[in-house]
Amino acid sequence: MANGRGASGSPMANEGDEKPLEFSFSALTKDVTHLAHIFSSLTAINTQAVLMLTQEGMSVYTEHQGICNAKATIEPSLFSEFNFLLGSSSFPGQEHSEVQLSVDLGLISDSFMSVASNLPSKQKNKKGDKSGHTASDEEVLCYIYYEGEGHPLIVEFEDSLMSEKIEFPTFYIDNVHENDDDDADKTHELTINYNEILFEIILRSDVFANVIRDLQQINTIDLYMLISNEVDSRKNGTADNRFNSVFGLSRNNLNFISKGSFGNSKLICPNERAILEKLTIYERGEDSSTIQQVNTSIISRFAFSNFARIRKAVSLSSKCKIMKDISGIFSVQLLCDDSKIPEYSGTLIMLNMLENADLDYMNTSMSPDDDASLKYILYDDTLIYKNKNTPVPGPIDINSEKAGTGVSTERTKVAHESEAHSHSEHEEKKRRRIDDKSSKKKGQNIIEVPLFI
Amino acid sequence: MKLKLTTRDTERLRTTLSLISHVRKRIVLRFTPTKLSIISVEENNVTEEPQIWCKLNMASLFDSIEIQSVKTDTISLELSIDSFLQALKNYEKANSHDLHIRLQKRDIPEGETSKQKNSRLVSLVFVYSSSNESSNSVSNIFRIPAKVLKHGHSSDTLDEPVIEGIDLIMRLPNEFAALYKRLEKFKKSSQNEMVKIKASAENGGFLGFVLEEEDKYKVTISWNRNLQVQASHYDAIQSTSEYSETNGRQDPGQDQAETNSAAAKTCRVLVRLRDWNMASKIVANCENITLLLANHHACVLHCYLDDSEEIEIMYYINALKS
Repeated sequence: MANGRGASGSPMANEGDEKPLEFSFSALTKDVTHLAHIFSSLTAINTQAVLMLTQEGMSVYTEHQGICNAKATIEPSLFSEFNFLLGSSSFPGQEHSEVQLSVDLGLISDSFMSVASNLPSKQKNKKGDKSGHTASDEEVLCYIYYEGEGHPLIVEFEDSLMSEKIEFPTFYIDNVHENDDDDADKTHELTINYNEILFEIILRSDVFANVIRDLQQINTIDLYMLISNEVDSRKNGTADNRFNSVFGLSRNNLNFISKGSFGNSKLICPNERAILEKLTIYERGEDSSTIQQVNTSIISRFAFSNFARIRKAVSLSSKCKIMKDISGIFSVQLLCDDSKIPEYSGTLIMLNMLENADLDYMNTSMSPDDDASLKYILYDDTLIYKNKNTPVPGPIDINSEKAGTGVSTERTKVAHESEAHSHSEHEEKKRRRIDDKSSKKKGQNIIEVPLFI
Repeated sequence: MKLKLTTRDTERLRTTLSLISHVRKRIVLRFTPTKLSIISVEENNVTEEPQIWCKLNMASLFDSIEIQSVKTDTISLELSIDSFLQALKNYEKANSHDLHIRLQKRDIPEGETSKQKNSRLVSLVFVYSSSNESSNSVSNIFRIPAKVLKHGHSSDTLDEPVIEGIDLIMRLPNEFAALYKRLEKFKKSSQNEMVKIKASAENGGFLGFVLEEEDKYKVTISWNRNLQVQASHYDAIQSTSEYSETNGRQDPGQDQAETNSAAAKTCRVLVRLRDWNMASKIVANCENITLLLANHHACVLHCYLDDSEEIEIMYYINALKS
């Protein structure tokens, strides 16, 4: 086995050499499962991916038609050995010590998955004798090698039973992703601009994953995301917005409005701190150099297909931050720390996608005929909060048959017209706010069921 | 022609069938007073497609056996393996006592003349009684359509393949099933993928698999543990005699000598991945698994259903021309 550990010598030692120094990369990890999950979650975006290798770790970048991309950053601490050796002459013009290679992530993910799903410890021991012993010392070592342009990416899995070596061809690519140049160049990239953040949300990952799943089940095509932290009119807010949030007078609201073949539905995220940890909206100050927090509402519109692509990654993560900048770039940042390596803090996955349309669509040009009901469902939030005297409706377990699949043990509910009908029509009527006229005319039903997680 | 069997325990018969039921829809059952052969072959391409031969001891399967046929005491039937399996499962579920299996002529509707051809259409009838909730005895009858294979019919003259010139014989441990799972990973990517099997007796036995798809991947999987390389004294395989002759060795005790001479040879066999993987269920569930390789020629998996070694399963794959 061509073991990278043997590749000794530092880049410094070779600097004087005239010969182009071969690049060499090798890494060894014991956590195949974590990598399998990360790779597999990114294949939902695109199976063609770019692997970026640096001294600081390994990143996987993949994008879908320029409107949705993802980058997973895996730090060297996941690897028990991590060697990155790059001579200055071998990659001319590459000032930054980063090597990129294009690979078929689908095949790589399948390979990792086939190992991860058949780990020796998981195999049932037919005889059932002393299986406990083998389970502990049976671990799969995974080596990753790359020798530079023109060489395949080599992945090796090794355990006491077998060795598997897989060579994946690598493809030449122009540098896909940033890293030199200044910020001006970055405007072309689908990368969020941290200096121009419009809002920032921290939401529990499993809740977000369930929301996406529910939206998927009701055949969402267009997705509107309403976020609001406006001051509750029932309480007397102070003039200074900052105090409102401090004293809890403002109400954080995160709603997902689905428009699809089943009509319009609204999923309301609970605003408990445990679930919706943070919701901040910013605006630029007068001198446009500072940004300050404000209390307002923002609606974003997305093609839901992009959201469906990120679901796998979201359900893998434990922490989730959602942001949007002024230019309409929406970013979901996920921390996946399910690794069994104790020193490893987790893989960061950054997902960026483009907002679908300008917001004017919602505010002005929406024809009353066409989207009156949508507008209504978007802006009306009398449902839960003003009917203080009516008890909170009991849950409808539409997804009860799928309960086993959910990570969360809590209840998830979704507005779904046909099922809602069959479940508890009578109760449902009390809760639903159907614009009868428009729904008859347009053949649309609007059902609002608060989303209790 | 008469076939009457009685049994109480169908578990081993059912397990055997379930290991091969995914391979082909129809099987041939060849009954003799002492032996039942369950044969799965591709009727139109017997030699190139994989063959499965399961040999079961009649006496250990059935409590009473009555077999009569003209000339020989052999009855060969072709039937659907799924129906056969389902009938056995139903019997097991019914918690009954005896299961009677017998051969019956299929009723020919009146008016139709019984042609020569039709006389071969029979039913394999399963009869057992079970008791319902009010402890009334209920008699259950299942009829599985079957076809009697006459002498001279291609499937009846089928002989177990004889593999000439076995070069290597190695024992596979049960954990070997894990390797099958690794080979299955790129299932979707291609249909007619081939796998190169490479084996040698060096360093305690080497067994490796190479899967290659241009511009996509090249996978090399090799077994890390020692593989017991056996040699002659392999009664179960018909080819044993040839093997022994060609090697001019009769003494099974000389393991060391065997290994040394076998080490000179490295075997390579190219087969379709699909064909190789079809045996994964057999390898995962059987005991005493042995892999026999004839260089560029064929590979055979031989094993027993359990430690009793009463049920023998053989899986033959002829090599592709590389």
